Amino acid sequence: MSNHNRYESSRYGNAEHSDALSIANAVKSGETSAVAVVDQHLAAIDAGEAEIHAFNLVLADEALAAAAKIDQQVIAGEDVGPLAGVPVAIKDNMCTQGVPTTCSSKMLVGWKPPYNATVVERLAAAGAILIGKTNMDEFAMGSSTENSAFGVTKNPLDTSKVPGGSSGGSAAAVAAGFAPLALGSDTGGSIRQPAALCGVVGMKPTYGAISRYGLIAFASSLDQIGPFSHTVADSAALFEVIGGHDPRDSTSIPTPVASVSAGLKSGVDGLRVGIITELMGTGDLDGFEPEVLAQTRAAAEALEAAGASVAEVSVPSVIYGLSAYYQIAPAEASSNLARYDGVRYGVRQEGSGNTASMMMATRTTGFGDEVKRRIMLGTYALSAGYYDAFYGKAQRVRTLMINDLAKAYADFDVLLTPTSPCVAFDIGATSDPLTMYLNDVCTIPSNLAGHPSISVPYGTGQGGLPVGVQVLAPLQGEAVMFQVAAELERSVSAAEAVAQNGAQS
Amino acid sequence: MSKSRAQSLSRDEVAKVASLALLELTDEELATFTEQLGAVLAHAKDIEALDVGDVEPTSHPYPLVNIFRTDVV
Amino acid sequence: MNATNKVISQPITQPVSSTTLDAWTVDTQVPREETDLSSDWEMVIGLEVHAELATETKMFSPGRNQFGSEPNTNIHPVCLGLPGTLPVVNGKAVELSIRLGLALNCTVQRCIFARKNYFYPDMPKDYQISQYDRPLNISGWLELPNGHRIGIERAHMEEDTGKSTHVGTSGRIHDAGYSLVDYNRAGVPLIEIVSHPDVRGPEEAKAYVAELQSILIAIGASDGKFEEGSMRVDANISVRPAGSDELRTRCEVKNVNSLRSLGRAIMYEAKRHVELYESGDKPRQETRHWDEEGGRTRPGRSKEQAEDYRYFDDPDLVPVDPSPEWIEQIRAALPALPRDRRLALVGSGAAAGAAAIAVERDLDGLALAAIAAGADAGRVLTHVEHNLAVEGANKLDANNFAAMVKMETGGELTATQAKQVLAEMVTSGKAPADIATERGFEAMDSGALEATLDEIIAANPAEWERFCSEDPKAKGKMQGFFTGQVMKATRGQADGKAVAQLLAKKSS
Repeated sequence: MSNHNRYESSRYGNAEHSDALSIANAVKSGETSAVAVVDQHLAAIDAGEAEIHAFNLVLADEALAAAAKIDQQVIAGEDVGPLAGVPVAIKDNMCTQGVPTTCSSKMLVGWKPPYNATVVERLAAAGAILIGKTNMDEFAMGSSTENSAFGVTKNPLDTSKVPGGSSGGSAAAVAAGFAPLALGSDTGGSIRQPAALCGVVGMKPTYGAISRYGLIAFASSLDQIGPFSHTVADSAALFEVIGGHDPRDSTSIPTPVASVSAGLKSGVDGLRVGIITELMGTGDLDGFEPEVLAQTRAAAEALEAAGASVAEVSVPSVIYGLSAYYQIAPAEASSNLARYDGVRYGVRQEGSGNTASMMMATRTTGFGDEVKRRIMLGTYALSAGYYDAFYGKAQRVRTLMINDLAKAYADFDVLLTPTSPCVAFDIGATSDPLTMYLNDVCTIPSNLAGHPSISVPYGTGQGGLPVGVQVLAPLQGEAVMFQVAAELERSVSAAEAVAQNGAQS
Repeated sequence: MSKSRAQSLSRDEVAKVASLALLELTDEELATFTEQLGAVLAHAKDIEALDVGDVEPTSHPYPLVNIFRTDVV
Repeated sequence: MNATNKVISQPITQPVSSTTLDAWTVDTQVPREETDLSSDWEMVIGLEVHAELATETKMFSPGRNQFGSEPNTNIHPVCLGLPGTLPVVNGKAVELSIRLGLALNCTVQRCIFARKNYFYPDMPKDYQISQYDRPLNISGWLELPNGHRIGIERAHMEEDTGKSTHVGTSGRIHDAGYSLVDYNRAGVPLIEIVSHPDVRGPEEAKAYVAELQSILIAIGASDGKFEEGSMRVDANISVRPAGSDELRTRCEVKNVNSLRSLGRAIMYEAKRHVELYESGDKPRQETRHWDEEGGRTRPGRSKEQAEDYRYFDDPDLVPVDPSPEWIEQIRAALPALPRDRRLALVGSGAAAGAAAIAVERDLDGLALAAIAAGADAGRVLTHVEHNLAVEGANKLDANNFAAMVKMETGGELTATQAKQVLAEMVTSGKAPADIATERGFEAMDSGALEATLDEIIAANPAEWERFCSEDPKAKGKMQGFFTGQVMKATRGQADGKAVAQLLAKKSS
């Protein structure tokens, strides 16, 4: 059985159109209705959700009502937006007015935000339909979605495996056919790594390209929202819908969103592609599966065949990314998560009768172990006497990495690495936190630098599980990044077509 | 002032940090967390040797200044 | 962020006499407090003043900045710190803060917002957005009405906390019972002004805070109301042997809610330090609270957690980097500051103390105009100080005021008549000449005055003899007697100065 067939067989239901742009076109043209589209996806969820557990909350009634409204607008000849009738699943750390938003934490059970995240407003304005809130590692801390307070999400391609994390629910929802589009958040790889493990496209934009207003913070200087989809074009379209300046986020880049869809068919002729030597398992970093490295090289060769020039490039400081990240992200998290104290919202655990003990009891019972670990790590990194050696140093290493990447971009338009050192691993197999952290080694540099990067499915590795190849670009380099990703997608389709023909003959 | 990373994290330090973060740990949790956090910090030793004295720290990946809101309710 | 361990940038070279300052502070009506230590010791005081900025909305949130609303009505998801919300800097708050920085002669610089992390139920995010190692305004000074300069270390922006009410047996947070929290104040923009430890006593501290208050009000940065908590003062207090330049252990005294409390708290705390040193002990560095009723400071709540604020740059906010053009634009629009106004009056011939009072009463414009119209500066300032502490004084027509003073100095009105005319000018707005005519005020000619005095001398020969004696005490007493008799006989119409001259002439 070819990769492609395996990939198809992972889907529940049998929606006529599987990609978002086709769905939107069909809805706008009247070929199908938004209600029918939502019905098909709800049917898929009915069929598979019990097994996969991609969602914390499915918004069936709300989605059908929103779809009916879109259909009325289509009939009335109104402009219904570029994603008309397209179901979108969003990670449960994005605020939805009046709809529970939990971050997969006991801490926020029962809390309904009184406002919508900017991305939620922009999805609605584009005609997209919110179909559910997806499971995640608690407060986005994890690489397997095993840290959810509400149970693990399973990888739709092999339910004994994790979907990756922390946006595992969103990746699984797209892979399982529950929604053609999903939103995740990516602080150290939390979109790209699960996209790779679930065989879908996942993209983290330039820091500041998409508003964080309404995204419940993990690490504010690293967090970005981004799309999941089956196709590169869908992710590009979703990025264009939710990106662009938002005055409610001080770190939002004050320019309109980059136009990225237009260049998807431009090819890569003449582009310069650099493979980061240090992230090809050749240096100090080990744990890279040979199949993952082989697929990454195959991807580079495919780009070369399409006219790009390809060479290896050394970015020495990327190997320090993990260490810097595990100072900076927990430090910011320790402060961002201080507000969960039982005083204003969420759960409250009474203590021994005074406010201080109530606050401590609430935090002690409300947070899971991984969240506690990171809060303590970050508190330590910021505390008196350690700041300079830990947090301060990590911020300087961050600068070093930005400088090294800038040098690489003097000679290359994009950089290429594996997305994850390994394919999807067994649920429950990784109990040691540090081993889990090592999953993020290839994705972290883009977060520290604020650069965009995208994971594109590229063949399979151990156990026939998908491999993701990551395309990195400099600040605001989304257009060229998508251009290269589209070429990779074309080459993998061609390869699968050949493989399928081979299997049939 | 700074503590050498060659020393591993002590239980007392973890206990102090937990108290600063308003987290209550059982003795068992304290032992587990001390070991786990110590391992993460030991891994982070690789940046200790880096000479970054003349490198400016980065707190924002995209440099912006003077982002203001108008004073309207 | 305490000032007292920093180098003093504006050393005080002369000892400050507390009496010279006393009259210029706002609360001159209160009973005189003790204001000095024994001459072996001197006080070293640094002040941290928090002032709420006069904006419509909060520092980082569109929530309303208003005092006195129903609890939890001036709130918004951002100032409640709800998950997912983000702060955006109020540009008006930055502008007001720059105004203050310029008014305090500070360097205005590129600055960063930092998070100060600690848990407190009335602080919605359990961290406060403040400024740490790169504040907006640094290295300035404030000149007191007596000419002494107090160094300003920094003036930085931050957000206020909410307010808790503890309902329990002892009223303390660690007590059983329950707490009510009002987040109306949470996120209100504050500027914190940190002085160098240049202040040398309670009276100077009060003068500093009063001057800062008048500057804040003059530039429109704050309403400066102590009673509404718009201004709050913490004092870092230590003592040292007089003449030494060492900096000893300081205590930070909080919860000081008026100028009078500030003076009392400083005095109490300084004496406590002296007593400790003199008994062979020493104070320990701590935060103490002023207990107004008990008239003493008390140690703050014992810290269950060590203070470690874990400051770091707030990743949700970007630097504020005011351009030179913006700074100059703000500087050009600054109104005249109290110091400039005092200097202008002094330049027109006013005494320094009188000028300070005129400015404090906002009557310096009137005084300047009257002087410019030809009135005697001394008389003008005397009337401002003694006869114009009344409502409506600032509506007085300067030309009428000047005309009245000229009538007085020209002998057409006695001092007593002048006072009466002035009072009526304030209430009726009439011209002084008209009032004098209506009231029948005519300066007595010297012949009539002398005749009256002669009659009184004839009727009181014993008193006259005593007046003519060499005993200065008796002479002074009898001068009062004869002046009083003349005034009585003329129903106050006589000019006291002329009476004195006549008495001197007749006795010689």
